[in-house]
Amino acid sequence: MNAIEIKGLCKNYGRFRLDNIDLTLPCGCIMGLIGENGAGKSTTIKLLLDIIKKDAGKIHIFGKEMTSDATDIKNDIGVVLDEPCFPELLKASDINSIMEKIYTKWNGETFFSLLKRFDIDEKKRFKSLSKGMKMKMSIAVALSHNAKLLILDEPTSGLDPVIRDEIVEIFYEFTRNPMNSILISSHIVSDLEKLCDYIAFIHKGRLLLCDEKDRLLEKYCVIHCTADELAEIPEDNVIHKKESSYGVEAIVKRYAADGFETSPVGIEELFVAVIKEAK
Amino acid sequence: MKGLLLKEFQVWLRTRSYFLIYLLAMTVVACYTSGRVSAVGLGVLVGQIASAFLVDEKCGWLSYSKTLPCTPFQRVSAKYIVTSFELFFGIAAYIISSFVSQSYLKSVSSYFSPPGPFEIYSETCILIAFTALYIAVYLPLCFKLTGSKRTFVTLIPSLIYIFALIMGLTVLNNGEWNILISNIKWLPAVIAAVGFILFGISLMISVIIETNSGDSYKNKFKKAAILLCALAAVISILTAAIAVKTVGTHKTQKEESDNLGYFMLRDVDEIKDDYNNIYTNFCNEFHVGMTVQQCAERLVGMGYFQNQTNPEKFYSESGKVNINLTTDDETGKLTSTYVYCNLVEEKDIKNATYETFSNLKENFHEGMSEDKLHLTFNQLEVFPCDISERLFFDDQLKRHYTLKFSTDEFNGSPNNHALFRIIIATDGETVTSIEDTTIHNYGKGDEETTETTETTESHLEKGNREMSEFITNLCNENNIKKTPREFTKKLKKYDYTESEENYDLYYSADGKVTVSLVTDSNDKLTEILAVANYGETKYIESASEEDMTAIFKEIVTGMTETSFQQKLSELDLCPDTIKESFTDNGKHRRTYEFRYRIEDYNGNGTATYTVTVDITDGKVTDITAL
Repeated sequence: MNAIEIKGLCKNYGRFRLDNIDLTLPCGCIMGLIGENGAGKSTTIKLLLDIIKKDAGKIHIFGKEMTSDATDIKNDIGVVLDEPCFPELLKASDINSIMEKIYTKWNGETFFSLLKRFDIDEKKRFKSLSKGMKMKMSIAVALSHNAKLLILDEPTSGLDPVIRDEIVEIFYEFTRNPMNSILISSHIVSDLEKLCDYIAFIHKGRLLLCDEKDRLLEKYCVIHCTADELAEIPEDNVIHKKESSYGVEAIVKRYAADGFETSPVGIEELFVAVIKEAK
Repeated sequence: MKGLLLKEFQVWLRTRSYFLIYLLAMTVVACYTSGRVSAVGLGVLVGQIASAFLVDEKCGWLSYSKTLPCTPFQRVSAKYIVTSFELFFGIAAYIISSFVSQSYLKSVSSYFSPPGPFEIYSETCILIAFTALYIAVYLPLCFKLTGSKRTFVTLIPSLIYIFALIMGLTVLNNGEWNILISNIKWLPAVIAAVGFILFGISLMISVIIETNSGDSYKNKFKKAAILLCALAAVISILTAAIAVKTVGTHKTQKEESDNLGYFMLRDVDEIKDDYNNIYTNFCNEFHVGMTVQQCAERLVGMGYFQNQTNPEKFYSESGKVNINLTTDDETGKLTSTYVYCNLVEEKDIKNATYETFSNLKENFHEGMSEDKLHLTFNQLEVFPCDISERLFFDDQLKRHYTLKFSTDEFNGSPNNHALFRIIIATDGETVTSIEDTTIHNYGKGDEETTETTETTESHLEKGNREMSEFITNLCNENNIKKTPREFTKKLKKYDYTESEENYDLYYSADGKVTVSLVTDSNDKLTEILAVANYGETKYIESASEEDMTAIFKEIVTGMTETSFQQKLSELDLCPDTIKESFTDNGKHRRTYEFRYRIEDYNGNGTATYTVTVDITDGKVTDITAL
């Protein structure tokens, strides 16, 4: 069973259109949704979570169709949105009381132990916390009701590297349970490269790539050659090239790079290359 | 949904702690206004709903809450529940502040009449309906719109709501509204119920707005919304139809009652029905123990107006019917009602004499039924000018029909104006007593008489008429049986004021009549003594004792008061003072006093000559000259 199945998802905002997104996240895997600002990552996640209404397509989570009253599905989803989302006058204890009554599997001990681990003062009101702490609070909430699926929309955006590293570590711990899955969107590719099993590239509302990370890394490589040498490789196999006075650096499909000296490509490099070519 | 409600109330408690200050402010404002202004506070209160949405949107809760395991119905309901709570809190605050302010106003002004339970009930229902309707429009807009668009668009219904609230509460004082609710007591509750139905429809609409997917879910709520709309429409149409009919019926009744002043009736049954229209409306509506407020609600509902300076007095639109309520000083509850109808002008009879009026009076006698009385009015074509009715504390009914006749040439004397009055008392079924009074014009000369009668009646005529009225009304066996407190209430109704030096002494408004009460050790009236000063001392240049004696030679002891008054008319004499007393042993005494200032009396200089004529039980008993 797949954790998430999206087929033909469309949403039209006039100038922006999310166009036929097909995406599958198997159970127990982590998928990173990468795209530049305004690519459609948040829109995809909002559609997935039924925050906004889709124009077309189907969304299934844990094999069930996602609808407005699918409360049983939502009970198993932990959500962290790109902005902290609790009323500012509430304290941690208030949030605990509220969530206790909302989620059937809420675990207050887990919540408070996470707060302690994150070094968040329980008595402080939400508005008194820093941005990083607010995000950590949101993550604590998402992790405290035995969710099977975490959907995270740019959870590390605006955070310093130390906190980002800490959070990534927490997600690793989450996925130790083989049934737990994560869908995480970010434009900080380095975080995702460490974490994810699957990578999806979104650009201007279109899904450019969606594949296993390892397969992507195996599928593409970087070569250094001359322009003439590059010309010998069919254009379809050249993802991106960068010419300089020292020669050409190109990202190509590995099978087309026989005879060339190759080096591994990073996800970030691949992402930038794909985006540039798409433009 | 519990979690959502908890979140809403926790935020509400933390952001609405100023409500206590708000409640206090509303109360203070209401103490210095009619209380209606404080209703604006309700508008401010529910305007907080928009700010609550803004807070949720700003912090991201609106989006986040959609990811929680809650249905759109639960999310919407939580908002509606907390909004309803705010609504009821605001209305409760308004009622409390009104109660406190009204109690304060009552304590500083005895004329202030606080609202009764029925008024509070109708006002509360209207508040609920208005505010529920406002929220029914407001909340779906909040769910549909976002950001500044929401703030701008929802400002319009907020302003309309505040304006409509103030106007609506003002309309509650309207007579036609009072007609409606006095006849359809369930009307305010129905209006409130319709408000709640609209509230429910609004909730359905908000759920539909909030639902992004799941057509069957939407369809379910669409059907429910349509059903509720239909129900609200049916209830509203039925209620409106009943209301229109009630107002129309009352207008017809009121028109009829106003026309009673013009007695063109031929049939005794019509007369009787019209009397009953006046009295049935009152006598059956009122009973001992009602408060002024309860009476006022009924009377205003019948189209009568309450006197603003004296809330115990009411009058019809035509001014022909006046109603005075008497209440107990301690409990404020009704003890008696007095209804007075001025129907027709006095009938003018040419060349009338005493016999004319006496013969007229012979047609009425004690013990005759009221039906027969009305038939007699019709046969004689004479109709009462005034009808008054008093319902006493022991539910005893007393009704007085006053027939008035005037003549210009009384007993054949030119310019001799007289007013003849027959007062017929009944207990609602039979005639219990008949009294008559004759008031003469003691005119001093043709020229003077001509002058005064051409423009206004002479001071003496007016004084004599008033004396006669007050004598009839004050010094009689009915009043002697009253307690001092009851009697003084009656005096106050005739605009008598209490003396500051002597609590048992009262003055008329023009200061010319004084009334004093004598009570025994058990605080029971033993004597009512009244003195009326209307005439002026007459000046004579020169006269002797014989001259003065000759003036009064035709006034002899033993003559009846009627003859005495006739003689005064013939001799053109005018008393300066009339004193009257009535004792608890039924003794009635009247003294006429005549004063003269003689410049040269018996050649000995200035002197004052006073003649007093005592009349006891209708006969002259003593004549004294000093």
